[in-house]
Amino acid sequence: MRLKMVESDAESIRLELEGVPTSLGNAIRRAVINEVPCMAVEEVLVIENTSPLPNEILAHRISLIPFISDIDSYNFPEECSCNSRLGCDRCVVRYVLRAEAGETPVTVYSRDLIPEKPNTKVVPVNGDIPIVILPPGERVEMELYVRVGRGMKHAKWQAGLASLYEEDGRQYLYVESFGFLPVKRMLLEAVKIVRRRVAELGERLDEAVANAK
Amino acid sequence: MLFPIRCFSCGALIAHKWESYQSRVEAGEPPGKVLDDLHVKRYCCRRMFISAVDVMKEVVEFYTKYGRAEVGPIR
Repeated sequence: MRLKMVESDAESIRLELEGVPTSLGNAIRRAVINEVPCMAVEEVLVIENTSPLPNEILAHRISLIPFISDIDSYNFPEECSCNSRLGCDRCVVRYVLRAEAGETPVTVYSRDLIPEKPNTKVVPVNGDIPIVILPPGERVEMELYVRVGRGMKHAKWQAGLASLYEEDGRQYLYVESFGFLPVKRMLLEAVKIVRRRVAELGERLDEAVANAK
Repeated sequence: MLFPIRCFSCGALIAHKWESYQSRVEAGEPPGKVLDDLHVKRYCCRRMFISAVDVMKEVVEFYTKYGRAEVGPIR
């Protein structure tokens, strides 16, 4: 089994897989799309919204913004020891969005999201994402809760994309990160998940065989 | 109404490239070339740009002139 890096840049890697079973390559592909943990806005508290967009559409747009994910220091909310629905310092990052248009229309960008703790590492991947345009005199004020999640729960947590394909009899795996995590980290995370899943399956099979005897 | 934040098909982030795409195309550059420059390479993401209609501008203009229907002219 051999892996060769054919090309790579800041956000993507192309690997040539030699002697790797297609099923394993596919498992890695699926893990990248579905299971790599990353961070996005999960809950929105709307305090005021007089913008042309209804609350739920605005909330949906905000939730799709990728945040640079510090998955080493943050837990999944459902696995966190705090057992609190609102979350604690180990499972939630709070943000505030406050914007108001004066005499002229104002475009609200992702850079206008203000973290509760100014030194947090969890920030929007890009500051230039337009969220909404406020006509004169209109305002939005909301509180945002950024949490860890997986792509299988909602596509906003899809960390990247991966495709497995054959060209000239060779098998390639192309992986691209959306910015939540560096590509290499994302791929390693996916491989770790596949390995854990395979080990789990082995244990369950052993249990089943032992019970059947 | 506004340009979507992620590509509908692949999920890649595209919204941050929208404003430079729009201003450059309005200035007369060919859309295909602008998209190449912005590194929008997959055709699922490219169609998001070339098929987008920005209605938001008109909505904002309407709000500016007439205010929200239930509130009346902007206070």
